[in-house]
Amino acid sequence: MNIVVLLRALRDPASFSVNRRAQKIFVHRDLHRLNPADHNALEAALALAGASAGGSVAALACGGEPAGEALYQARAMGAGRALWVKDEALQPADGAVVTRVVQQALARLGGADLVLLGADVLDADLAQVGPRLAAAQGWPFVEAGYRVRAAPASQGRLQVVLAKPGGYQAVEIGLPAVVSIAVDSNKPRYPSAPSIMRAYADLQALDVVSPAELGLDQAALAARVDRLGESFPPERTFGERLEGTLGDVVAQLAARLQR
Amino acid sequence: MDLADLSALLGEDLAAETFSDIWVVLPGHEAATPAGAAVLAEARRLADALGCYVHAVLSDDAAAPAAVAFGADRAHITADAVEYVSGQNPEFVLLPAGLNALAARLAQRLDSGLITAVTAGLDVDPDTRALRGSRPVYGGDYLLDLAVTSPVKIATLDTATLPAAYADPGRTGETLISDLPAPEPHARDLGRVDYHPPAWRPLSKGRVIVSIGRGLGEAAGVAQAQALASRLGGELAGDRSARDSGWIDEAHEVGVTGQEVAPDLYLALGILGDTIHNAAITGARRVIAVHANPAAPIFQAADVCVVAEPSAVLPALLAALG
Repeated sequence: MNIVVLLRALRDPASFSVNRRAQKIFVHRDLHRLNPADHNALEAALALAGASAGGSVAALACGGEPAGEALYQARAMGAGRALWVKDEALQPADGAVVTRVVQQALARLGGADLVLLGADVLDADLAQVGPRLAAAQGWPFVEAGYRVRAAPASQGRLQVVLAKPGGYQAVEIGLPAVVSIAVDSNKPRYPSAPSIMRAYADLQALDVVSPAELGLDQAALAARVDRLGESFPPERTFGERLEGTLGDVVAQLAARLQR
Repeated sequence: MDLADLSALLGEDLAAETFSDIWVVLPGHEAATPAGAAVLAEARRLADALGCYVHAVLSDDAAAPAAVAFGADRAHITADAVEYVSGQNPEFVLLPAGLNALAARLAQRLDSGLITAVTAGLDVDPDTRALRGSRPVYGGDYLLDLAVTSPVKIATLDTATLPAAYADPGRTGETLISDLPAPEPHARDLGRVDYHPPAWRPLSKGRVIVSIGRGLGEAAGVAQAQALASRLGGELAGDRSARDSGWIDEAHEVGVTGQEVAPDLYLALGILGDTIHNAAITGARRVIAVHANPAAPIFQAADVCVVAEPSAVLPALLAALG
């Protein structure tokens, strides 16, 4: 089973602070990390490939240097191949553009039986890439899977466990497919020190391409969503006290909880 | 002179006027739910400003009267919402955020831009007709202001942040029924499974956390707190004092020494709130604290404070929530 994992690098939440009063974001350090849910998707892919004979994992990321770093991490964790669509302009790209890039990149990787990605993206509106990619390829899509494994009885099918109100439910889908993986659904493995060193020492660790090499021109990369800027929620006010008799207070509390 | 002549004269396609309408996609019984009603009311607000119609796309004709009452001019009943809407030449499509995946499929089909989970600032630019909206990033630290500029514009709305919609039973609208066949389901349902999520960070995904501390008094309160957590669809947690009392285990301890949490709602019952605890809940969107001591430090970290004995509030609250 050829598995492709889509990774996104984002600014580490620990490296900036948001001042709502000043309406500003203060960046302390230039620090990036892998989107947490994508980290879980990578672990799910490695576990699935390890469990099936002849399984392979290729990691895919688009953007500037932080995307490359994410791919080195993926190689160190055990991904067999990594494709970096290197273009700074792709970092703030919208869902439609990223989907287009991923489609072309899948062709470059020689196709895929399964595409895994994180069910949510912390820094951008890109959780839509999963269902968009599935729609573009005509593949099934399953959202926020907790566990993926090959269906025991039939070849070319996949069982995915999903969270439903009051419990967990399994669904079975045919391959190829796109599955997004819920954040914290597994514990990502730590790469060993030698594997990290091997990944960085390997000059062919990453396959680096530009969007043009994938056959994407400026028209194909035209955004459908513009980023106008940032806005800030109002400052929090602490310490509003609920007054009255116990009955009054409980009624007010219940009204707030039901909202 | 008919419409075609007038169009030729003005050099504009007047028949394409329906293009500017707003479509709200609400499969199932969504139109009658608060989420569906809130989206319909937002669509109505935009449509009144733009001077266009609101179409509701439903899968069940029983939901049509509710959709009309909440603001739709026309209800469309279809088994295949994506296929149906694609054929209708929409300009704006709105959905509740629970249908993000459906919205993305529709966006890909119509080659349009999509903003998901908009919480603020939904409007239409009067000059460019771009659909603008703000959505939270980094768990609500700040919002990205986005504008969809493609010919078809799609957004999903986080309905928890919208005002409650009101129904006008006097409104009238027509109902159209399409005979498109239902799409083949991609996934085969295997039913409930005995699956236990990995226990390494059980609180990290909790959107609602009910947290208990020594101020709860008796161990009998723990069962009530658990009942409240279940009622609110959340997790039961506690601070160091609760763990020392044996009410919770290590994996459910909130604090710098345990786990840092960032839920939408953090309900602290009988937690005094030392630095170790309060530093771990700074990511929470809303904190409600109940403690008998008016000087408890938890009240400096809480949005809503209740100075009362938690053991008295808890049973009354459970009764009030039903």
